Amino acid sequence: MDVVNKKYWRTSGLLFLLLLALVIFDLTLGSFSIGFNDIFNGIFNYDSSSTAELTVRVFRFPRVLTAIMSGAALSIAGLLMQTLFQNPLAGPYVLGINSGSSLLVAISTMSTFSFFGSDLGLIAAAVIGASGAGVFILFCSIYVKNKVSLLLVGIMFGSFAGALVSLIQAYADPNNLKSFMLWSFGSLQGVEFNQLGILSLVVIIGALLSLALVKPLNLLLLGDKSASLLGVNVKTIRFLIIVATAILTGVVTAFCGPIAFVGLVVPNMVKMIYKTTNHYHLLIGSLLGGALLIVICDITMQLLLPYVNLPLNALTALVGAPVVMWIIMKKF
Amino acid sequence: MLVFKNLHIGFSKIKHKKESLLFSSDELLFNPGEFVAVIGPNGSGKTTLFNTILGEQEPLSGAISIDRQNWKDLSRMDKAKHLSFVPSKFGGVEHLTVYNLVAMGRAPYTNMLNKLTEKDQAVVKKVLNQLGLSDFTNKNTVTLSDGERQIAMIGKALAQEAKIMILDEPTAFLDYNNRRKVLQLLKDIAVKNNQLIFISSHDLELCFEYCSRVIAIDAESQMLLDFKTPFNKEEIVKKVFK
Repeated sequence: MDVVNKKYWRTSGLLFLLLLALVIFDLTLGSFSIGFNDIFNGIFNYDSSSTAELTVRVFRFPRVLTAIMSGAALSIAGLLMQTLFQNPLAGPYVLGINSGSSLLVAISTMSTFSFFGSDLGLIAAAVIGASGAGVFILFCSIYVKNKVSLLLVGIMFGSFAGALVSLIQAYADPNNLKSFMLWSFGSLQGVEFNQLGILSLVVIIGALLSLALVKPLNLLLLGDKSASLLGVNVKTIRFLIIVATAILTGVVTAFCGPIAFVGLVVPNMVKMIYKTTNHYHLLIGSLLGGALLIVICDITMQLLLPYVNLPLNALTALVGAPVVMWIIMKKF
Repeated sequence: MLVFKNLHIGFSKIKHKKESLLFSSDELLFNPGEFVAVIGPNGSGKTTLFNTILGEQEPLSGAISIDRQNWKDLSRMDKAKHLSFVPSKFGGVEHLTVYNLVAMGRAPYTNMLNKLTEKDQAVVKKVLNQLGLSDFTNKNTVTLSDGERQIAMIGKALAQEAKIMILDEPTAFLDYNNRRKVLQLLKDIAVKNNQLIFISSHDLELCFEYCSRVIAIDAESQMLLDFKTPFNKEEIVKKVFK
């Protein structure tokens, strides 16, 4: 078994190195090219009189770190959903968890409700929205046994929440409306340097909570009854999985907008590469793979910038939708 | 070791339905090394009986005790160490190997990250050898035949090192050869490991051949009937399946 574990660690190591290389490459990209020296100084030893260092500090480092955090968070959330619902097509976006988040973000950005005005307030709104949607879909899963039907319920919930958002938009102040519209395209550039701390902290908390659930997640693969008879308190674990998913999805949605498909695509890729059911390795793989995917998306966007300004959400859907269709054809 | 005390089994009042008794038992004692078949017509309550023993469902009245402890007082973890369960159908999980399936039986003993200690690995290895699964260790549970998968699931239950093993219709989805193979295996395990094994089954002939005891659910008198070897087959069938 040790030989096998080494194999997983080697894969994770390779993914990490690839991620590192692409992150450094991504930092050099933007409206003008920046050398490695300035990148290093801009992050660790910042001097505001240098334009290059300032650019790294204010725009690029926040953009790339946000890419890493959002990709990792959404992919872990997707993995949790897929195991909880025993469904390879599950993910925070298709199950409407993003939509729940969006609805509350819409309420908080376009209303005068002051509690949601701060960063923390926005995160809280997004996490509450995500939890609400998560509990709703969990409740539905008790009655809807068919896997594809459950996804339809999630998509319907998404449409419903979307309609409510439109309603709010109709009455919103034009300035608030514009910032909400930009947010809803999905963007990695909305996070400022001093917000990175809170984003990273919340993502790390969500990831650690998921790591603590590794054992029950492994056992849930045998079904609820068998897991329960191996000592898993299934009800509590389900609740904790929803909490972890809501935290991870909510914080990313609050800062970057509703990013589609990442949570669905990455865990499926990771399972194909790792060929294991051990969630310890799947979790690490999803974390690295998700970060990698969004960083690659960002690199693509930066390279295409002179020709076309592609929103993140369009790009992830371009990659994600075909993958979903492929999974449906293969497994259903 | 396992005792039913005036057990009344059935469904308690849910919503509009009245409380309904399926059957009751006098005091019944089961010992390690016994291979017990639970038989009865469809709907007579075999699964309900198992769910009650497994703690998934409360008895209407009476109690189950194990080693003189009331079953209700044991924690979920304690129960997992006393009792293992094999469902009638398991489809396999993509990328889950036979080794890792059997290793899941060690879950009640491992730490939070499910790391197998040397002792855990030794137990898994022993189980794989005992069941003749050594050549299958790295095989995907999806690609196994139904018989092999059933045996791998029994391996998971064995690795749990619980004194009592419960199998819900273990032969239902198997062909004739595999039925005999699985039952022979269970018979050997009961004797060699000194475990108490329960199965439910509709294969009466095979149960009479392999099991050391038969518990029949008589729907008419709503009682559990207890038969020991040598079985009077005709009498049992006449009483239970009219």
